[in-house]
This record gives sequence, structure tokens and C-alpha cells, in this order.
Amino acid sequence: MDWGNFPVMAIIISSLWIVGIILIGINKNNRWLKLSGKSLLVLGIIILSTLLATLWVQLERPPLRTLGETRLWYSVFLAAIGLIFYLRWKYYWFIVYSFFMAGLFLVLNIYMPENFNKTLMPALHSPWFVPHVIVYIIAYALLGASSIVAVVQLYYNYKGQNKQHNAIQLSDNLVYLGFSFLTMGLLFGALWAKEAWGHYWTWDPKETWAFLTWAVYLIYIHGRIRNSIKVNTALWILAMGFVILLMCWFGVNYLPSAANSVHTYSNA
Amino acid sequence: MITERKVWDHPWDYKEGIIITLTILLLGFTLEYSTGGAGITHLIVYPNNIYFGIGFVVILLLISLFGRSSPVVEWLESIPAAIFSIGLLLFVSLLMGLTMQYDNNATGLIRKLGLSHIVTSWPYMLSNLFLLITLGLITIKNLRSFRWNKIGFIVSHVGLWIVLFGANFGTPQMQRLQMEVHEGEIVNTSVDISTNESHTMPFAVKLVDFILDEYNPKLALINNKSGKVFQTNGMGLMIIDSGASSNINEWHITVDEYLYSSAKAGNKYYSINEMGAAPSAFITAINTNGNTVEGWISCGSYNRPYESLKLDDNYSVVMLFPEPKEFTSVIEIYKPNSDPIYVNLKVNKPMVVDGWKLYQLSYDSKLGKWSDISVIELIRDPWLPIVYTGIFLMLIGAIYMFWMGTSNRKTKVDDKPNKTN
Ligand code: HEM
Repeated sequence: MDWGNFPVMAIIISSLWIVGIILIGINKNNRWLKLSGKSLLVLGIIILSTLLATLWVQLERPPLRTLGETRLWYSVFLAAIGLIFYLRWKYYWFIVYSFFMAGLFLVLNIYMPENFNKTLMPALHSPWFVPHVIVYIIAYALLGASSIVAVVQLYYNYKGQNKQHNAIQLSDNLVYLGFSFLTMGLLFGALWAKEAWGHYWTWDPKETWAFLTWAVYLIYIHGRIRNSIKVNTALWILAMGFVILLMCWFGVNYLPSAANSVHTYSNA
Repeated sequence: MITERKVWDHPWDYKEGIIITLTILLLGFTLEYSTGGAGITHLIVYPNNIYFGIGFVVILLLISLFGRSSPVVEWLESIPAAIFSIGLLLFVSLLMGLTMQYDNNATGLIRKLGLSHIVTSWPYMLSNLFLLITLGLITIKNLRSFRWNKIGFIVSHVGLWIVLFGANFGTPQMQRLQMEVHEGEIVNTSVDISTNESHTMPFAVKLVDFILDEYNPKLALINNKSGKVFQTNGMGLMIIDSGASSNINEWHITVDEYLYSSAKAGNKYYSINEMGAAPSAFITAINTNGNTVEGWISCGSYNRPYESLKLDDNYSVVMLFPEPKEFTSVIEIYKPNSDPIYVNLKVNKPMVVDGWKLYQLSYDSKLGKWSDISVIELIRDPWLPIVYTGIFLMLIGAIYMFWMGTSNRKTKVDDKPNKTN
């Protein structure tokens, strides 16, 4: 299993997921349909994880460097988190969303594999590399989910529909979990930077945007204490937080301030 | 009876927050502007940073002890103050994220307002102080009424405060020096790049050998006219190795032979081992019409020419310079009255000597793997243990937060269905 037959694998996994989602959705009262649906979802996740593990062995380095590779991780975590949160909170739309996104990332990779780069610059040869990136990807997956919850709820509010989703509680849970990973990612990054570049924090553009992302969610967390800010405001903060998060993830390379960033590896 | 609260009537909340925050921001820019954009670097130099640091902690403690009844202190310990102080630092960082930093060519308002060097500007310093005050006061308050169920709160807030405090008051004492060593030479001086000052170190370094490990070079198609590398969605480069093959554009390319270190004689390359010997490869390219082109390519080196292979009017095959995998300085460190220490210094693997951390920084990139120079960076940051203590506490706080989720909120949110909006 390598990038050569990735398209086949991606299609198999996506199909498993699509069928699984449909089975769960057909009849919410049929236990067997739901169970078989969930099994298909799990099977897809297992295949994708195996694919990642094989890639890791073949490339002789963690497959975390190119955007294409990180998308695979995002896909697997999004799917896993979607499933876990579905089991916990029973929101069907949530599982549809998270598997749709996970599948989208897989399909994107068929068209944009960006896998040519087998080399890894010296600064990335570090035991910090894997924990730093994986923890960040989990954080992004959780926080991304919280923003979708927020946007959906804002839409319901706007439509005046009184769907009682307890969306804000779900967001709180997602943000608390996501934020704890985000903090770990930030701190692992600082510890690594000290070893690789000599200082734990240099306000490099990527670091600056990582801090901005962190600060937005910090404001959300504090605004939610004793309902200090309006629920609607909190939801808007989440929606905005995701924009900044995406900026941090994809956009930084295109900013004028990033001209001398140590984090823009991809054009090496 | 409910009456409308006027601005500045106590207790303060968001309205006053906006006014206070904007005032701090305005004050910051005014101070920066009035100094012509000189920033704060010259104000906080060692040992002033220590006096300021101690003074700041003492004042914070005094305020917390004796100012408790003051409505201002009460506000500083509130959620709105937390949100505004985080928000202010967020705003200042946003400016930093959007403008080019460390830009010495910046002129005019950008420079005078400090936008080209935010980290050493007044607005940045004031927003950090504001955050240190609010975070400090709320943390001390909670420490004074310590209960075990607050442990998560305390660990993460104390941790963050210590990190911010250490980073802000400690940075002036950080030293970053560079030492350039030639093979066989013993050096005990280094240079501060920002000031060009020379320093004598308490130890000397001898470079025994510099070793550069490289990946195999990559092969690419380039457009004969524009000179651009042909690439679609990141595809189009292949790693050269004997026997490797790949399809690029309309060409199927096979590497028949790869020589790691070679030189050209006549029209063929041979393996040799001497300075400047470059990698080369014999390749065969077959296009979809069955046309076959074969020949040698080489990326050359500082003293040898490169060679490309023309496929047709549009494209040629070239070899790109190999990328470094790892670089190592084999060094010996001499200290008075002790045996020399023998180490391999690599990127990501610094070592500590007498409070100085030594980093493999760079080498003579023109000579590449034949470089006989290594540049070592020497860093001393006496506040590092303080910052690391804070980071450690924050990590515990983050793990605690992951473990407990929202269930550890001592101040429960209103769980009733919300009728806001
Ligand atoms: C590492 C970053 C931070 C994390 C993870 C964090 C997390 C939290 C959490 C989870 C709570 C709720 C505690 C509870 O109800 O039990 C809280 C409360 C609070 N935090 Fe933070 N916070 C952080 C940084 C800050 C900062 C920078 C400030 C700025 C002043 C701040 C000010 C406050 C305040 C005022 C409260 C309310 C405390 C009270 O009512 O006693 N926090 N924080």
C-alpha cells in the first residue's frame, strides 16, 4: 500500500463511510442498522490508520510534512472524534459533518497528493516533531468541530427555529478538549524551538498566528464562565476563531509578515 | 428598584473595560510616537529588569493585600478585565501578525508607531503589563482562598503568569552570540550579531571536523524558455537513485546510474573522491511518442559546472542541489583546569557548557559538504528555569483540563436552556 494505489484506498474508505452514515440515518430506531453502520465507520478508520502506518514505514519518517500528509491525519482524527462525540451526544448531523469533512480531505488528496517530498530538513529531525504536530491536528479537529456547531446554531437562531440542541454545551465541551490540546501543542512547540532555534518564542509569524488562535479560544472560555457574555456573542467568537485558525494553518505563508519565517518549509 | 448604571458607577464591567483598554493602547502608541519609535529596549537593560521585576511583584502583592476593598481592584480581578486584557494583547499581536517585523527599512508612521518592531514597543509592553496585572491579581486572590478543587485553575493561571513574567522581564538578560570556527582552529571569542560586540568566552572550542549528510538530489523538468521548474500540484520532482523511475509530464524517466561523488572526463562521469566532486546521473527519458533521449546530468558544485539534458524544444532535465539531512560539528571544548570535552554538535541537539547553550547554526553553504567552517551559536538565558517552571505548570493545567473537561468548572454555567439572543 503506497501513494500509487492511494486513490483506490481513498475511494474504498469513503464508500464505507458513506454507506455507514446512510445505515445509521435510515431508521433511528433500528439497533441493527445502526450497529452495522457504526461498524463500517470503524472499519474505514482502521483502514485509513493502517494506510498511515504503512506510509510512515515506507517514507522512513513520520508522514507529517506535506500538506497532503497532514490532511490524512486530519481525516483520521476528524472521523474518530466525530464517532466518539456521536456516541456521547447522539447528534446525527454532527457525524454527517465530521465524516463528510474527513472524506473530503481524502478525496482532495487524490487530486493534490503533494507527496513528492521525501526529504526532511535538519531542524525537523527531532523527537518533538511528532507530538507537536499530532497534538495540533487533534486540537484543530476538535476546535473546527466546535465552530461548525456554532455556525449551525447561529443559523438556527437566525431562522428563529427553536431547535433545542444544547449547542452551547456541546461547544463548551469541544472547546475545553480542543483548547487543552492547543495549549499542549503551543508548549511542545516552544520547548522544541528552544532546542532547534535557541529560543522558546520569537514571534515568528507562525507563532504569532498560533498565539492569536489560542487567545481567541481563551476569550471564549472566559466569556462562558458564569455566562459572562451573551451566548450569541460566544458563538460568533467561535466562528471567528476558526477563521484565524485556518489563517494560522494555511494562510501564514502568504502574508507579507512571513517573508522570513522559519516555519515555511514547503518551498524548501 | 432597578436603575440604569452609569459609566464609572461601580461595579465596573464592559463599558469601562473598553475605555480602559483603549486608553492603554492610545497611551502606548503616544509614548512610542513621542520617542520617535525608539521602543523600550534601552529602558529595560540588565540590571534594571531585575529591579523592575521585583518591584512589580511587590506592588502586585501589596495591591492584592491592601487594595481588596477598592472597586478598581475588584474590577481587575473580574472576567471582563480578563477578557479585555487578553483581547488587548491579541490585538497588538494581530498587528504583529499582519506587518513585517524586524524590518530595518521601515520608515514614517510604521516605524514611529512601533509597528515595525512591536516586540520592543510601548504598546506591546503595556499590554503585557496589563495582562500580568489582571492575571496576577486574580491568581493571588484564588491562592489566598486556596481549596483543592481550585487546583486546575491555580496551576494553569500561575503557570501562564510565570511564563509571561519570565519572558518579559528576562529577555533583556538573554545573550545570543555566534562563534565561527575553522577546522583545526581553537577559538574563545564570539560576536553579538546585533551589536557587533566581541565577547571572550570562559571556554575555548576547537573544530575537529565538519560533516554534512545529504539526501540524494532530486530531478526536475525545467522549461527551456522561462527556466521554471515543471510541477503540477507538487508532483513532478523525483528523488534520484540508481534504478528509480517516474512519469513527469509526457516523459517516462529512468535513472540508469547514479554517482554520489563524481567528475566528468570526456563525455562520461566517473566516481572520484575529491573536493568539489559532484553527484551525477545517467538517465533515459522516453516520451509518449516513443522518442528516447539519454545522457548525463549533474548539479555541479562550487568548482564544477552543472549539466542538464535537453529533451525537446520545451523541456530539459536538471538535477537540483541535494538538500542537507543533518550537519555535525565534531568539536573539542577546553576549560581551564579540566580535561577537554569531545562532542558531536548537531542541529536540534544543543549542549550546555558553563551556563551557555551551544547550537550548531550554519556552515559555509557555498562549499557545502566540503565546508571547513562551522558557525556555532551560544545562548545564555538565566531566566530559562523560571520560564520552564511556568511551561511545566501550564502543561499540567492542560492535562488536567483535558481530563476534567467542563466538569471541573467551579463556577458552573447556567445549565438551564438558554433564552438569550
Ligand atoms: C493558560 C491559560 C488559561 C486557562 C487554561 C484558563 C482557564 C480558566 C478556566 C477553566 C477557568 C474557570 C475556572 C473555574 O470556574 O473553575 C478560568 C477562570 C478565570 N480565568 Fe482563566 N485561563 C487562562 C488564562 C487566563 C488569563 C490570561 C486571565 C487574565 C486575567 C484569566 C482570568 C481568569 C478569571 C478572572 C477567571 C475567573 C476566576 C474566578 O471567578 O474566580 N485566565 N480560567
